[in-house]
Amino acid sequence: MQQEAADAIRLDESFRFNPFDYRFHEEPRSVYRFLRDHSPAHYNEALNLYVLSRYADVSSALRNDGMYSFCHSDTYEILHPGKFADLVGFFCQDAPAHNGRRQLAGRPFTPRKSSALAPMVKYSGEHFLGLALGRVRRSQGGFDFMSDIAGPLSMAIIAKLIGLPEHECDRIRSWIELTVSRDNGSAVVQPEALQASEQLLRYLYEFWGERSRDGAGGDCIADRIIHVVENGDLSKQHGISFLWALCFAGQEATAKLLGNAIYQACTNRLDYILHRSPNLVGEFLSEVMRVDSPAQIVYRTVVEEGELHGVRLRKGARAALLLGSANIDERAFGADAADLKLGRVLAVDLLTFGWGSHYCLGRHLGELEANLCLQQFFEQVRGYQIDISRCTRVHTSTVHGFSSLPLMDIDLAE
Amino acid sequence: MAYRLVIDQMKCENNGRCVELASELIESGVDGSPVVLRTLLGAEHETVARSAVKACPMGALRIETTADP
Repeated sequence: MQQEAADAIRLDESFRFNPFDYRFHEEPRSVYRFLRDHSPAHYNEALNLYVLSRYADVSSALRNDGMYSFCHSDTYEILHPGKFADLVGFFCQDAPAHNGRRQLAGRPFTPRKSSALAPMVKYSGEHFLGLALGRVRRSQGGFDFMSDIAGPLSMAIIAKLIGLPEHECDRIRSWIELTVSRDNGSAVVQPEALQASEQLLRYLYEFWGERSRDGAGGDCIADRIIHVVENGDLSKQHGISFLWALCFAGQEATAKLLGNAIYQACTNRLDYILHRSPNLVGEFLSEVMRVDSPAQIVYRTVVEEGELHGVRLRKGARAALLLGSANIDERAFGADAADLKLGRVLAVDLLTFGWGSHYCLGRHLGELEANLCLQQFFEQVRGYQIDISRCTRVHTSTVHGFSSLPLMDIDLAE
Repeated sequence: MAYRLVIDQMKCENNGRCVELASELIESGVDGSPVVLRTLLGAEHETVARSAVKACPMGALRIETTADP
């Protein structure tokens, strides 16, 4: 414990926000609080990064494409310098160019289309939950919620939607995790991460080629996008980068949301309550998306000078919009903003999914998956503990969540 | 002065928040797309209309003022 205290981040005038600091990943809230209260237009010279942490400022920035541009992607690090620089996501653009492409890509994710996927989502949930809980029933101990349920479940669903083959899911998942992983305190994209990213890209190019040759006659997203590209409405690069983005968002964000929910239910001692009253799962999930959302930070590039809280924001700098901090800002949500509180009434919109032209396209599907999976889980599980000593977190510049979340002492409903 | 509530269908993604907030002004159409019910709004609709404009995450709604007919 003493060692931990000595290693804690010093929150004073010398503090510079570093999204790659593992200590920040372990405990972001005290950092957020410090920034909101003492440095709301924070600047880290070494990273040339402005950091916005208050709800009002983050909310405005999200709506201000003219000043805060998406042109260099929404991660801090530029993932594909040089060789793969041609992979510019369709989303790495601002309105109005962005809107047209987004419209083409977004059709499978409308609320209606997403709801229609409920049976498929439920079926997948039952499958993975059944495997994990089956082992528990046979007294084979606990299981790892991330590797046994959240990860494969999210991957299976997005793979099915895209049209990716089941047998490639594990490989794709490992490429995704490697791509986003960073070393402690470092913005450097290591060779393993670049390699994994390139392998996934290469795989998607091959997959695209095969499907095109086969006539792309199905109704999966890949086939539809192939036709859109063939009609000349989207470039092939943008089509493939869209599939690439879907793999990440559909897998990373959703899986981490599930993991965070399972973590929060246990640490807030809500497991039994959620088992007894499944109608509370929705409210619970809303609060998880507020206090422990996977997408904690999105990044922009400052393309127009501006001033915020007396600080001059210069062109060319990056800006970190701390969605996770905004969502627990006392100024927007009251003195108990940091607490997970079932039935909380919100006075303002949550920024969990961003806002504006880059609002999360897959939001409805993500929420549906999380809701259904949690309902299924709490239906069958009366209580559980988390083996904290064996938990490990992901270490990325954007996503907050677990790579390993071992559950134990699992008490199953009869 | 009268107002028109206009939906930019290019930006609209059927999130449905406008329908939730301003059900007397906008309803969900057959395919889930929002449809504006009233061509002209009076002053009594302004607050609700503005809240719908603000609530749209895609910024797809706007209010246009028109001269009285």
